[in-house]
Amino acid sequence: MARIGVFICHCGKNIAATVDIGKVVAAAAKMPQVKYAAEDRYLCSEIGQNMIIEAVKEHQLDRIVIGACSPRMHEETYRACLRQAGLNPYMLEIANLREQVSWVHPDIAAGTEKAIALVGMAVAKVAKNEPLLTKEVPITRRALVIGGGIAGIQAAIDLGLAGYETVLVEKEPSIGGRMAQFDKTFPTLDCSACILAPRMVEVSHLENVKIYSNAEVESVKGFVGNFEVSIRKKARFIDEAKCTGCGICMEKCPVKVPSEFEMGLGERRAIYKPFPQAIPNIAIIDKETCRYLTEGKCQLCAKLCEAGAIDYEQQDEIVTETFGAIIVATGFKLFDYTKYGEYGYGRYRDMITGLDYERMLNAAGPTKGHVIRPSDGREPKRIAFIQCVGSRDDAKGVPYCSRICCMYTAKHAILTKEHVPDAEVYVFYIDVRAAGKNYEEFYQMAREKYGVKYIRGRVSRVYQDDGSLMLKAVDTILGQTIEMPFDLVVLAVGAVPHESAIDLAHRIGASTDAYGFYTEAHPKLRPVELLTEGIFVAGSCQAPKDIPDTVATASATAAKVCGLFAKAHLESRPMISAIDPEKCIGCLACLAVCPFDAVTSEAWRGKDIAVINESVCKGCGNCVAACRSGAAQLRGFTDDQLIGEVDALCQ
Amino acid sequence: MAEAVLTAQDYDRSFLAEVEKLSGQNVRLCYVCGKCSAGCPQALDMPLLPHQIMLMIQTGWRQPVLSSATPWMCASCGTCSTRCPKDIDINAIMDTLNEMAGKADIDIRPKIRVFRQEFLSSIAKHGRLYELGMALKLNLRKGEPLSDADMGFNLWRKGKIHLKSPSAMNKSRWAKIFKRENR
Amino acid sequence: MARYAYYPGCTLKSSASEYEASVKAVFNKLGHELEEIDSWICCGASPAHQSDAGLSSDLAAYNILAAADSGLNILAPCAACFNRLKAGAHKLKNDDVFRKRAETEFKHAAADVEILSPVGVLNSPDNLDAIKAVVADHHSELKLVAYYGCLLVRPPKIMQFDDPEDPVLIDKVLGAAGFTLLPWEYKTECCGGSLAISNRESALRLTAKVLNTARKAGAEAIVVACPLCHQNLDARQSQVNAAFNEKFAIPIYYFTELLAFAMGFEPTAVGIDKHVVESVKVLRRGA
Repeated sequence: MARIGVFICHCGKNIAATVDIGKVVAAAAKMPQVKYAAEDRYLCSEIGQNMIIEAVKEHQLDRIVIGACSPRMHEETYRACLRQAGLNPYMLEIANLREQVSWVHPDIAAGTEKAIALVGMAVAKVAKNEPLLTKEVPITRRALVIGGGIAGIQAAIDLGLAGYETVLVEKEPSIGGRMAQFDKTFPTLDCSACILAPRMVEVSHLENVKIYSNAEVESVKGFVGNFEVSIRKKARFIDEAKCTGCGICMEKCPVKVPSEFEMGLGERRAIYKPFPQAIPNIAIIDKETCRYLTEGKCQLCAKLCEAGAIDYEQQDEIVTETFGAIIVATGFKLFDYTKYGEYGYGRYRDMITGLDYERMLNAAGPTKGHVIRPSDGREPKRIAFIQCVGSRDDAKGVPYCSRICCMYTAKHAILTKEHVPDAEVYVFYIDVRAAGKNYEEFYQMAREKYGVKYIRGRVSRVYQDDGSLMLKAVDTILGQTIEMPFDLVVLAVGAVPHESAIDLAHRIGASTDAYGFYTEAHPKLRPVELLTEGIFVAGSCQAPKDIPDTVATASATAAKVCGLFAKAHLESRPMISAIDPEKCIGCLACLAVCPFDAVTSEAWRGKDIAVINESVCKGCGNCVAACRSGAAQLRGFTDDQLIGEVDALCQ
Repeated sequence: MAEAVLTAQDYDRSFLAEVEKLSGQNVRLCYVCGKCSAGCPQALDMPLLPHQIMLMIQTGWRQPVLSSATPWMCASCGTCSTRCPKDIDINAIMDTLNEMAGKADIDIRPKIRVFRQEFLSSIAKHGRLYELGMALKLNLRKGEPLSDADMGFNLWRKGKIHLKSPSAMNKSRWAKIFKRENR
Repeated sequence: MARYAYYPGCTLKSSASEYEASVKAVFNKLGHELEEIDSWICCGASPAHQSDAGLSSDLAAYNILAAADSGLNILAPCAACFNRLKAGAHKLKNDDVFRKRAETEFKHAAADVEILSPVGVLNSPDNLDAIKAVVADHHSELKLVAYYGCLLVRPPKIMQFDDPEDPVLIDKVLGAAGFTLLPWEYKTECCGGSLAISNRESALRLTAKVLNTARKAGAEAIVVACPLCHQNLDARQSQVNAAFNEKFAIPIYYFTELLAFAMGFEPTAVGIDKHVVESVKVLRRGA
């Protein structure tokens, strides 16, 4: 005979406002095997937990039902409470009376009835709970960082310095990411390359950090402590060990194509380094445009290379390694502004993105730092910045604020006045959001010191007129419409995740929001963790971030990984499958449906049976559903327990 | 430009809900970015710009909105609705304001109102528009007998103006459309 | 070869008679049949939807249901009628209460009827091929710009017709018939058609901008698919000239007039001589 205790939480007014708590407690007290029922205003508080512990002692309770918020919120809290009370932490069931009752049913009578039914089900289930035990699992103290922008670089440096072996995977030929493309950074106007390059060098010099550039994660198996990751090292057609980065091949290569790094404003060769400070400092052959790889002739680079590093036969290579933790830092890309028909669908040459403008402003960039009109190379004298292109725009599918554009536009406006002092600079904005340290001051400096004209109103249309770009705008504060020509229009385009990051999320079982940004485990209290234990998220792949926040989240993930690696071992989840060898008929239907390869076949007393590898099983329950003989059972969710719940509901 | 201080008399707490119900649009979505006004070909002739009208509806300034000439100046070109980042059909809201002002008998732009009345009365009578008849009655009511006479003459010269009124069949069926109580 | 329930609307029977003549000529030439909806009434145009949304929907529903028996899709050449009928069809499809009331009142069941514009229909691959096959050699070398106006494309959620910011269908079909269309930036700016009578000052200002931009783009003539645009640009061109001290003499063609001309019809046979601005000699000169 079980001795069940039931505790119902008011959650302040959250539950108590639409559920009659007294009625639920009275009903629970009468349920089978319930020896004690009580309520509290905040059960998760210390007072509430002490009440549970006292009640366990006083009434010799051996299992507990909590009626409160979602188990997602406080299951761990109450398990710890049971442990403190001397019970097995798995002798616990939670009826979700908040998310599933009070928050969704305004009617008190109906809500109370449902609450009683949910508590009844939990009571029926907990009566059949068995104590579950965890096992010790060893940790592989190696970390994988996916994405070699400033976030990935920072995380890898922190981990390397902490003494942990780390692999940094970057899909482009060089690490550096977006920050490598920026000219200067707000609000300090530091040269971006000058502050980034030392970090790039540092990470490449750390002995326990390995960089796989031009590589992508193929698949991730396993779980926290022991992820098995396959990484595709894409063919570079260069022997990395031999290439010295001398650059003679790229001087002579006859093929010129638009440079991705220069946002198409400059050119690169088919054999190239994306930028001079690239790390690793070795060349790569673009197989889409290389004359030899596409047409079978040329081989000029091979003839010139004294190191003999050119290898046209090189193939992609897949390596599989084990990591204890993963940090995802895949960054962002710009929204495709050519979706804006009202701004010409991208057909105006003198309309560029903010990222294009970064390259134009950069002394090492395609225009050597001269601000020009791409159409005729002349210096523009009237320059307009349009904010919120691809952000705060529901109609274009991007209702969120991209957060960085206001500040980078202020920076662009200031730099424009530095480069072209007699330029007329206008910023068309909806709201200026300058909520970082020294950001407001920086924005005000653009207006006060540099005389940048800020006009509040979204631009409706841009069209070509007499070689200029005409803007149809409004000053909403004045209530005045405006039609003005400009020589150059720079769009403050918002940030969206890479498609490949969304792909990756599927492969690592991470969830993303409606736009494809990674969903953190808790928006406030677990901002750098994913729901998949052992996987962390840094930088703009979680939401658009400026550099300080990106670096902060990167270091936060490194701290989380260090915390994980500092443990002696991990505890396995006990809620996994078990197969009763007596009942198993050896059909192996379970083996076919197991997504984690956790089932093997073994001989047992003269027959073949299925066996669960407990260190691999994740407790998804597929095998239980597939099992015909009832041999497979999910601990904590056995058929017996679930049928008990259904029976309780149907009584 | 503000011509007077708005007072409690100008405000009506049910105005927003009324406009939303009639137009089928959620006016509260508007965050007053101004893109509607920026693209409006008629902004020049509007005492209040469309984004200002939207904001005033949100607040509930019934009197100033309904007595503004802005909705009457709307050309129904739909540029605002097409480009609204919040997908609000602002054109439909302007129609609603016109309709509300018309029902409340607020005569902001009598010429425009008279045109609409004469147009609708012509089709209510014949089922189809009798251009000549409408034009003559309209000019009479406006007190501008020669309005558009130059164009009318040109069109008549080209044989495009019919003296005889048109008449659609099945009048018994369609006539009731024009009686509001049927709807 | 297809059959359509033809909804001419008021203007095609009066001030836009050349649009009707040319639409019929082109469709007949391509082997299509137009069956006029005999009991059609006015769509209400802007005066209806600007003063009484319910009246506007009812007029559209009445006309759509009047064509329902034929089982044919409705062809509405006038952009204003096309716009109103599309809005009505959208409401019939998405507003159950409205549809049931309309069906009871107008004694017809609403069928799944499509509202079509000749601009769209003539752009089908079959029709484009057929047009290429029947155009005569003597097409005009006139430099043209296609002016789409508002009503064909806006609001895009309801019209779902061409690109609302940069429509191309008139350019495409005339291109297939061998005409030279220039790119320009004013394809969908408003000419003020709905204001022409009630607020002439505004309408003339907007019309002048269209004419001016077309001239700047190097156009010798403008092509339209809307009788309201045509009336503003053609019949009111002299008023624009008077108001703004201009000397515009830009012929304004319905796109079907040019197709008919390319197919070998005499300009007078499809009413091109009925334009107020001289349009026949210019066309012949370019041919």
